[in-house]
Amino acid sequence: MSDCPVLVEMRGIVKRYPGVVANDHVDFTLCSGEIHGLLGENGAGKTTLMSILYGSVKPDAGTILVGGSEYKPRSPRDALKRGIVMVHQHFKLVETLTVLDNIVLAARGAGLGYSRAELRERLARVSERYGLYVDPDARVWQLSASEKQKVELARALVLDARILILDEPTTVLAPSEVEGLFDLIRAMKRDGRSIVFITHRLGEALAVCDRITVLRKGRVAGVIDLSRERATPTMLTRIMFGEEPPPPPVRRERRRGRRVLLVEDLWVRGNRGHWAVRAVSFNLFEGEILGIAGVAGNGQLELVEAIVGLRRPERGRILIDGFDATGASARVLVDEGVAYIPEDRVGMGVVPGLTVAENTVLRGYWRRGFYERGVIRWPAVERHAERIVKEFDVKVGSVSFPVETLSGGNIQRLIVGREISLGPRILVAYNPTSGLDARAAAFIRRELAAMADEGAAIILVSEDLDEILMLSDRVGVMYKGVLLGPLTREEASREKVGYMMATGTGV
Amino acid sequence: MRLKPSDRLATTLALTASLSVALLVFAAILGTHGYSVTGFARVVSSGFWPPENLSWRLSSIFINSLPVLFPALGLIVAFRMGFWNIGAEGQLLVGMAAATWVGVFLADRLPGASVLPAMVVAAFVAGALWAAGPALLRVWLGVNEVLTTLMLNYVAVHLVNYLVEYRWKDPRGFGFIRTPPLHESARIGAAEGAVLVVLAAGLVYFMLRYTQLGFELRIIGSSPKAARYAGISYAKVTLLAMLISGGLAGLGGMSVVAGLTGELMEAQRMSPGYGYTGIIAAWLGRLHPAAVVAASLFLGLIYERQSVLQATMRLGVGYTMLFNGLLLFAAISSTYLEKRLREAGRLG
Ligand SMILES: Nc1ncnc2c1ncn2[C@@H]1O[C@H](COP(=O)(O)OP(=O)(O)O)[C@@H](O)[C@H]1O
Ligand SMILES: [Mg+2]
Repeated sequence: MSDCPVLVEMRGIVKRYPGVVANDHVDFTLCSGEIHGLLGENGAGKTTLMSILYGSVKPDAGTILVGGSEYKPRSPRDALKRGIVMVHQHFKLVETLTVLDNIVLAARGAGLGYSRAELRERLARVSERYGLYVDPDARVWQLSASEKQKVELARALVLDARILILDEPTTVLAPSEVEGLFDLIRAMKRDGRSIVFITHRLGEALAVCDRITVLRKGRVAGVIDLSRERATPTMLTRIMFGEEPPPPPVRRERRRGRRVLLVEDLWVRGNRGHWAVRAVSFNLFEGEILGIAGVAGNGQLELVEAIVGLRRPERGRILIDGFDATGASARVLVDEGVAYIPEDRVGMGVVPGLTVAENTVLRGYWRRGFYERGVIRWPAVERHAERIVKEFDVKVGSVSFPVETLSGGNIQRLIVGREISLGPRILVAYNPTSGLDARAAAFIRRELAAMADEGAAIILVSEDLDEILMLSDRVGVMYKGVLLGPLTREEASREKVGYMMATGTGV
Repeated sequence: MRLKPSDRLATTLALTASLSVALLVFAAILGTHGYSVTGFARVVSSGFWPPENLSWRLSSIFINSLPVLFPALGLIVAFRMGFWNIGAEGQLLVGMAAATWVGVFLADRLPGASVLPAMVVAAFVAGALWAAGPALLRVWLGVNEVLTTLMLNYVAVHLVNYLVEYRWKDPRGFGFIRTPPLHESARIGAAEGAVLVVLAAGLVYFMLRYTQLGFELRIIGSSPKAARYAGISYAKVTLLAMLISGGLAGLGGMSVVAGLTGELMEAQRMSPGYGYTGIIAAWLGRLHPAAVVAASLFLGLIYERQSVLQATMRLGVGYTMLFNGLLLFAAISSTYLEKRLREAGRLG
């Protein structure tokens, strides 16, 4: 294709999963010493393609050449022998072991004959060379997400990976940490290593890559050599989605009404018993969207769960329009007008084995209209479900099908529809669009904007800073259990919020 | 709740296949132990003809199935919420004792028409209370219900034996360890049994499908996390479900004294493990009330021929248990087979 020295050549790769072709005759070449972006929206097949190269997924068809010779990995061990290492979206570290133990384990697994002392020595050298400082004796569970990522990267380098596959490495980072990762990637390139950088964010792909392969619905939609052609975000978007992107949400009104929620000096413990939320206080008003940004694991989940009645606060008060809702159950709060779109759609948001209709009253089956004279009125529930399915465009054959037959995007539409149909005063949404295709994500953002326009008060917790900035009237940042800000819409610049997310200061 | 046609086909195929294997294995064991397989089949299938015999035979099977049927209906309620009640045997035994107490010692002081209702209430309440203990331990202290319900079975055995031996033994019983016979008004036949079965199965069906409690326990059974999200009180639902589950098992105990023996004897002579067989019936019927009734009737067929098999073929009660065990194995392995069939159906 181009005249670069080809290192990896994947040809005609096919991988089918039940109901979906994850890779449909994909061709992919990686040159020696390049940073190669693998771009595509969620579900495009990026992870699958690279897992095949890494030997953890077996292709149904296709051939791979590495350095010109045939390569048929049976496991990641084979990949490692050819110098191929993958850093996964979800880290593969043993949490209870130390950093060094993890590296020793990986070296043994790969059949490398380094002693423990040698590995410690190599780790020190790698850390020095790439500025990847990690304490070899820290236990992994004590580390933050970005530190764990450093451990994975350091481990790959200690094992002397020549080809590094990084699967969506920026999703666990604060915006200000992203540039540091890019520097590291460039440094690895200078040392002659080749990098596959997987992302669904086109800005990142443009910022750091030499070439980009775009996947769309399991097929190659385009290969762009950035050293030869100029690529614009609009052009990449069109290649990624095959059409114009869906319209962004619009806020028609931005009128702040009465205060509906007061949170005062709230302290909440996390699952490990530590203080996940420390002395958080804020107000929430009718008609506004309060965005809460932050790197995952800084207490957002615990804060939100306390507000919606899923976690009992240890100290402090939650007042909804004067009603003391501190420690009230989720059912009481539903009746007080608090709706919740949880992050864990399949685990919490729906009951997969029950029907679509039953799931539309998962919160609210006790309400008049559905429950009368001691009996649940299923015909009324089914009519309600049909309305939600229609209004929120849930794709399902019949409301009596079990929810487990729906795709992720449709499940989320169902959840959003159900929660909005509760007629809430307060709507709490946690990462409501993560993992959804662009169309479903845009639909849900528009619904949230419309709710706020109609006077509902919305708390939007999201790891997607663009989403927060796009929708919010005020932006707070959770950092180590403390709520910073909130800043007004005008104050909340990308840089400022990003800096707060990373450092916990800057208000 | 509702299955799609292809799923129903998968269930039927899976159950048929695994039941056939269970029957074949049983036949093979009978054969290798020197029993006549055809003889066995003849005994089990005899008595349906001529028509004069038929209704007698059917009502006899029906009565014999009740001690399994009621606990099985109750277990549907517990199992649907994922509460592993292994204690139907104990709940059945205490229900049996309570029914005996009403039927033997209270019946002549009560107006005739109220004896049966009083027995039903006593048996239900006793079974329910026996089940309440493990439920409370679970919700208060998180104690595993499998252990507590199972241990209470042994306690119930000793309780019943104590009552017959030391409290209620018939002074005119020629030294046999048994209570005086139940009052005439305290006996039930197929007709009364049928009324109770329709009521109990209807109640379970209605409860699961139409009440808040039923919906809540189905939610808990499928996703405890979603139940929390729906604001459901695990403690309340667990306790109520176990009261119903234990109460129905208690009715099973009443059906033993009132329908079969007419007197209370030592526990091991009263129940060959009906409560455990109820678990088998509940799984064979896939936790659906009507199907569970059908499965119990099938099990009743074997129980009813137990004494004949013993007399004509010298086939001990151990073989009935073996047979039941094979059925349980079939019921459980068929769920796996069913899943595979469904997946195959989706792909194809
Ligand atoms: N183990 C699996 N089982 C079933 N389907 C899968 C599996 N892994 C991926 N898929 C499906 O394959 C498609 C591509 O997934 P993936 O490669 O993870 O996409 P990406 O990494 O681009 O988001 C998706 O539709 C996904 O649901
Ligand atoms: Mg992926």
